Amino acid sequence: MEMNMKDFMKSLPNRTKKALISNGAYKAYSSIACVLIGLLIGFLIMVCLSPADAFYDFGMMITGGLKYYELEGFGNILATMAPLLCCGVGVIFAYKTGIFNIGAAGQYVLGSFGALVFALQFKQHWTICILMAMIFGALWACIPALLKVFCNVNEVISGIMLNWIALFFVNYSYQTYLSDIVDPANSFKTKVVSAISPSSVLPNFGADPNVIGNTFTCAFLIAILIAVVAFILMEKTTFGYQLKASGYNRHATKYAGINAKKNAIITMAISGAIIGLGAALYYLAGVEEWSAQISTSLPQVPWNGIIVAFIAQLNPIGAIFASGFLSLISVGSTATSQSVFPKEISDLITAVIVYLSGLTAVTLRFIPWIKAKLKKKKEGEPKEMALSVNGSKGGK
Amino acid sequence: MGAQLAIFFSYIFIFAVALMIVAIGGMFSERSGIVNIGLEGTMVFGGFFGLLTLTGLYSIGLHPALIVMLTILVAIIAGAAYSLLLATVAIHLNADQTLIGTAMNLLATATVVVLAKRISPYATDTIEFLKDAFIIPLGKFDINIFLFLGIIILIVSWFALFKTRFGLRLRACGENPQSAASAGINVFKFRYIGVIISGALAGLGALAYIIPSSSSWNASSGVAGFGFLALAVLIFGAWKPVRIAGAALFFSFFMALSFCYFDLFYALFGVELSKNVGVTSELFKMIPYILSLVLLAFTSRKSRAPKAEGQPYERGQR
Repeated sequence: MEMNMKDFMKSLPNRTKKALISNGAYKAYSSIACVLIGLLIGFLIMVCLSPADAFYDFGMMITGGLKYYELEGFGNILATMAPLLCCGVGVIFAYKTGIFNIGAAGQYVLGSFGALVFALQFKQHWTICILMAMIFGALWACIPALLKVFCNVNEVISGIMLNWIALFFVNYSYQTYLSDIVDPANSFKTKVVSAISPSSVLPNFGADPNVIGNTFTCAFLIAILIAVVAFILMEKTTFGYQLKASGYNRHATKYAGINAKKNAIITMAISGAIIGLGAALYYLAGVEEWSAQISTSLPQVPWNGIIVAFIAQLNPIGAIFASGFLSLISVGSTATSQSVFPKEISDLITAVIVYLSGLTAVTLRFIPWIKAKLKKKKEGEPKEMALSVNGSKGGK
Repeated sequence: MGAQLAIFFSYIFIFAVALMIVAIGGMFSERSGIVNIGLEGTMVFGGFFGLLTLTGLYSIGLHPALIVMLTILVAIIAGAAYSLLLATVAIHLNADQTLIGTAMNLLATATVVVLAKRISPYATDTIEFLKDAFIIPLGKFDINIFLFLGIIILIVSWFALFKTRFGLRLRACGENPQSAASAGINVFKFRYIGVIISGALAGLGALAYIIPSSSSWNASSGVAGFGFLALAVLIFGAWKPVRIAGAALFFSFFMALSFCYFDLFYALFGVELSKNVGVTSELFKMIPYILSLVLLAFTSRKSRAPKAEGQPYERGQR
């Protein structure tokens, strides 16, 4: 078997071989490993909860989104994936410059506020609603960036504060001067967008809601487009290179004449805009209405966006797959028997996966060391290994 | 009027004690050099197992004093055990502490909701509990035992941090782990102790928040951002126990106000503060966060935060 594997590897063209052992491939392997271990842990938990049903319901969770609900499930998956992907890409964008955008939740809240106010209060076209969501998100994201650049405030702490300020501010607004657009009969949720202002709903290409579900819209296309654009911007442009450079070494970039302060603010604005867009894609597609009286917890989507970012190993293209997977199991988990396996099982699994991917960021650092070790073994010089250990560890 | 004031003050003390306990926990962790963003999740996890013990022991009819002790013990152990998720990977693997903390917050809520729904006969995520054993009635003013525990924790942690060799060494690990190590201090050990104390106090703080203030607990809403507020208290309190106590009192004033502003203002001044005049509870809840943001903006240039907090310690690094 091992021999066959070696023969197989030899038979591959050189380019494929290189791609399979590149750093990017290692990142992909570790992501997949995280997902598999996360699923395994989730399965074990399900076995603990009820051994008899675990096999069937675990399968249901993985495939149920597609099998159980058929096309409607597919529409739902795409609808939940779009905002998730946007949040993931937004978080990735900020992280590339070395900013952990834990304030994503606040920007998402403000984004949803922008979209819903312009949809329900001013009855604008959906493009304007999306634009306003992006502007609101971007402005909110600028606050931690400005505080970091000019007042040296840690962006994680200010982000946490701003999350809750955003939530309280938005709910305060809906309860007082915007009380016209919430529905007291429906436990103070915002009114249904499609009923108040049909032109604000995202277009769905005339697809039949009875077949593909009434949350299916063009949202997923916008989100995938954003992910691709973000990838190109980060990997293929000078601006992207500057951003990444200031993430690697702030002082070196300053020395090289890059205005790191300006870049930090621009990055955060873009990150916030993408996250705000995500919120618009969620609320303008009518996946859910905003509950104006729940001030005890922040929305879950932006937190899952952070999960997407790290499962994807901070690659926007990877984020497409990560958000697709998360949506798949979150829709699938509603198809399991709820009294035995509550739908939060999927949250549990994703939380385990992100915990594990927090570790792979660490293990990936050892890859050069492992590679060196393998090489040295081939050459038969195990003595110099110690040197390479120090070299890779003291690097930062 | 007296009744409203009594309720108001009892709320202030409930929140202040809980906030102070959790923030002091966070202080131990950050003083050792590890930022514990996962306080919120640790509270949810510890609090859940505490409440589970409480309801379980009530149903078998144990002596109240024993119930109180066991409940607190379980919450502390659960919180401490949960914080090991952060400690091990942050200390040995140099993992990103913010990411791990975020993961812990998500993991705690998901786990607790799944367990709560599974345990409940009706698949709901709300736990009902009796709090009599924790309350000492004193006329109009109910006193809960967490107040005493809080005062003890405040005194002990101040003494431990500033008057003992342990405290000096812990602070050294958070300020400059390399020189601490060169003086023969085991940085790993002290960071473990710091994080475990933070987990234990978060578990206790969760009980101090949940038990006196209500009679049922919803697992999905968890502790409603209380763990994050404790981080703000920690910053406001400049990483010092006595100041943290002051900051906790200050913050809980607004939190208590957000709960009983309507009755209080009506009884005291005869004004009706309702939605119609543009006042909701969110307005009061917002204030502590805004104030700490403003404070951060003005003081972060010469921050009193432990210098090495959030930075992994590697042997042999300069």
